[in-house]
Amino acid sequence: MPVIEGILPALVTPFRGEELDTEALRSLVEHLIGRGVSGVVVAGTTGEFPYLSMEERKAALEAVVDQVNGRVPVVAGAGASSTSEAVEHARVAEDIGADALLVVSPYYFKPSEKGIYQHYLELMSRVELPVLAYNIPQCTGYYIPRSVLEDLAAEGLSGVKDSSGNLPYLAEVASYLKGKATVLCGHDEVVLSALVLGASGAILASANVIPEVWLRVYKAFKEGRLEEARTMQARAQKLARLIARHGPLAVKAALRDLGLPAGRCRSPLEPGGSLPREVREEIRLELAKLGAVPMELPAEAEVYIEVEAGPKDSEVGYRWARELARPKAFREALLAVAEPNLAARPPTLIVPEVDVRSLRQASMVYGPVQAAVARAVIDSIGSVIPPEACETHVIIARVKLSPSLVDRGAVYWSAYRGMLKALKEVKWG
Amino acid sequence: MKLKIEGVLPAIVTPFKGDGSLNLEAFSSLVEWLLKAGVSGVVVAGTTGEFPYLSMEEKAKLFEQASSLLSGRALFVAGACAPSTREAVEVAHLAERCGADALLVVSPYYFKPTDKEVYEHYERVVSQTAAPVILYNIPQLTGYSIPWWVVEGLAELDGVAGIKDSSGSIAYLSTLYEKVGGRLSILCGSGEVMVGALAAGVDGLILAAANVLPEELVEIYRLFKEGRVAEARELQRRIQTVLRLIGRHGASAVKACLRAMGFDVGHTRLPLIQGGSPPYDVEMELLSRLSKLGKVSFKPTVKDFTLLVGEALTTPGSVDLAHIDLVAGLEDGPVGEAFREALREENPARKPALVDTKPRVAVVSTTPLVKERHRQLFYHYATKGVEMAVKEAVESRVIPEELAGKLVIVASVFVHPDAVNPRRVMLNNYKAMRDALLKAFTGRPSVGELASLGKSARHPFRYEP
Repeated sequence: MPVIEGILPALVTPFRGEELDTEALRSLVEHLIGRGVSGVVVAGTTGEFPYLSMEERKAALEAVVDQVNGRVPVVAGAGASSTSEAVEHARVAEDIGADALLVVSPYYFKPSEKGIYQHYLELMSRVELPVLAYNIPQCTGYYIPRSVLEDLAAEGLSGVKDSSGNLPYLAEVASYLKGKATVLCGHDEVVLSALVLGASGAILASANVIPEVWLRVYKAFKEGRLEEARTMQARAQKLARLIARHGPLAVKAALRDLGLPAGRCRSPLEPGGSLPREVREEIRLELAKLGAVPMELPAEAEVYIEVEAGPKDSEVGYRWARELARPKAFREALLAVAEPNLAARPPTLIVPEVDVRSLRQASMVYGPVQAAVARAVIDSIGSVIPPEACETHVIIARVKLSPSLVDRGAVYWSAYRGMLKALKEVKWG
Repeated sequence: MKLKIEGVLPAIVTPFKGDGSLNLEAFSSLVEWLLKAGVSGVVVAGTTGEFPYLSMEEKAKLFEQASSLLSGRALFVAGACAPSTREAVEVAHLAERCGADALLVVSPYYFKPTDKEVYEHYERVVSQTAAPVILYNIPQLTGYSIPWWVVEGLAELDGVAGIKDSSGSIAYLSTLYEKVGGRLSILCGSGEVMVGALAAGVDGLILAAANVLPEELVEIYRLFKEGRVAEARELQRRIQTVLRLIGRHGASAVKACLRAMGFDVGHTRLPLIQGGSPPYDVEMELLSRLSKLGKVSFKPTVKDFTLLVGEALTTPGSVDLAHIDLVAGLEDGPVGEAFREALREENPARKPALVDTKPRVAVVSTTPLVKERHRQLFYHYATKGVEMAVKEAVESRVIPEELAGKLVIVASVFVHPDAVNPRRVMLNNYKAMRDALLKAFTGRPSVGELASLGKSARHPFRYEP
């Protein structure tokens, strides 16, 4: 029996239109094996298993088993809400030639401990393949009790995949299963910590996208280079967080950026606003930071601001109203607010002096810059801005910032300092 | 015979002055107003009274004041709420000395107790005081729900007179009715489910919302008791939004309402903070509902109509959110010129919608309108919401009638390109426009508000995802 350890991507299920795209699946598998992954998982959560028919799961698994051709272990998802359906999936997977089964704890109904135990016991009695129990409370609504896993390990359970990200739980399970069954980490944000606590590998959504990062974490950990492992984990942390939060939608978006198109997710994951375009752009930026896609990244976050202020019925007032009324493409003006519903006084309009072309860039302006400019105005009332000007004057802040800034914290403080300075140069009369 | 508790009892807020000290004068006038509305009692230093933020000395002053105001006129229920049994007993003794008719005792919090510990907590409080005790279940704050069998056991004690449940669970109340109905007074602490709770057999209501709408709640109770259930239900429906928002946001929401109604109750103590819970847009929604019920009226305060600015965000429904930056002003000034400038736009992805109300509004999109669905949502639904708000602002005199024909408005509206739910887009834009107009014409946020609230502002898009 092959040992399931190391780094295994939880493969997405590619679609072309509505149809399963086994060719894209084969290319993805080939690409990932080329990167050195320790195995692959078919029809797991990232593979949108609840949206696949029995025939589709079968076809996907056949394609992967054929493509892998024994080079690495293939783990087949055999998750289902009912025991009988899970058994059916398991038997089909065994016939096709999978090396192990990943079986999510039964969902929709929240079964009793006894029911969960019996679900796995029944399944294990009907197949020869090693079984991995799969704990993912974000989807199932509950944790598999440690005592159930402990008892199942005594009956031959091969391992547990824990996607909860809950380290006390993982540590508890690992300590009781030590020497009897393996623990695999399924949460991208805590891979290294899970390895430290005794996990023997990880099944990850983000390993579709950045397998080499996780393989380096794993290798460095195994060879005792903890500092290097921690550095690698930290570098992937934000992408891991975005992918853990947005699941297959995020993975498929990232694969598109990498030129490994896997189509869209099935409804209701898509369409729908579940992956806002701002997040898609964040993912692309993280991939660029990891060197996975080309993009020019600026070295620092300098924001330059010029300010004009004047009475409402002066030229400045006329310009102020006109800028708001006639937005220029990619340079749309917006009010400075400390937070939404808390607009600064004197009314301050921010006008970008550089094209803001994506919603992500927009979120830099409509976020850090907006808050910083407002805060600087509010903090200047009394010291720099005469209080009576709050009712009689308006301010226009023309803001120049690099369109591909990356660090919102730095943008905020740079804009705050720039605005304070610019306000001091205004003649308030 | 155990004390029977019935009717509507407001869980009264604890008014504070600007310097944070107790405002007993405001407390007294609120109590008098509530009594006039027909409440059957008042609960002092309960959850809505911010009990965990009050010192023993402050509770003493409140209890003394309450006792002298309520004595012989209505039931005085004192909150004897504390995480430890020792402190609960101490407050109970204090309340008893001050003449409380009953004590409201919350189940112990912070540490999550076992059922045994809860039973003993109550047993000890009851054994050391003569005043009847009302058990108090509020799992959303304590993190623990008192199981019915513990209530059933405690009902055997002579000193236990009732139970207040604020969970809002009719299933739980029904179980209580099954087990202890007739032996304990069952009190519902969730305004949102009040008619349902009455139908499930509760004897009375202890409500935060009864600070704000005492007459309505007393009326609902009366109608129900007279068997006029459909009328009670309809009356509740009219005030349901207020009940829901107060139920969710508690003391801060109640105080915001009372301030707007002219009661000098001040603000909640830190860390309960303005703009936190309820968020600013929810506070505006609450006040606007009260204005429709005739409890609050908004008067424009600005004098100079050259250029007024208002901004508002409403969020329910994430991608269907609405954000509006607006500028309003006289036709022959900078805003008039900007208005005409806006209408000159010919680019089809940028063409504003003209709302032909008085005042007229140019609705400008902050993002280019390319996708058909996005265009539909902007031109039809968001614009409709803007129109509703302008008409309402003129009717309610937020926009001065005599100026309505001389003013124009430019509203810069953000409809998210991924928005999906047309009705939500319309309602969010109605609310955002309503709030932005109100702020523009009442000069809010004021410089004073900015000085006190600016530092704690947290922009949701300022941080890395």
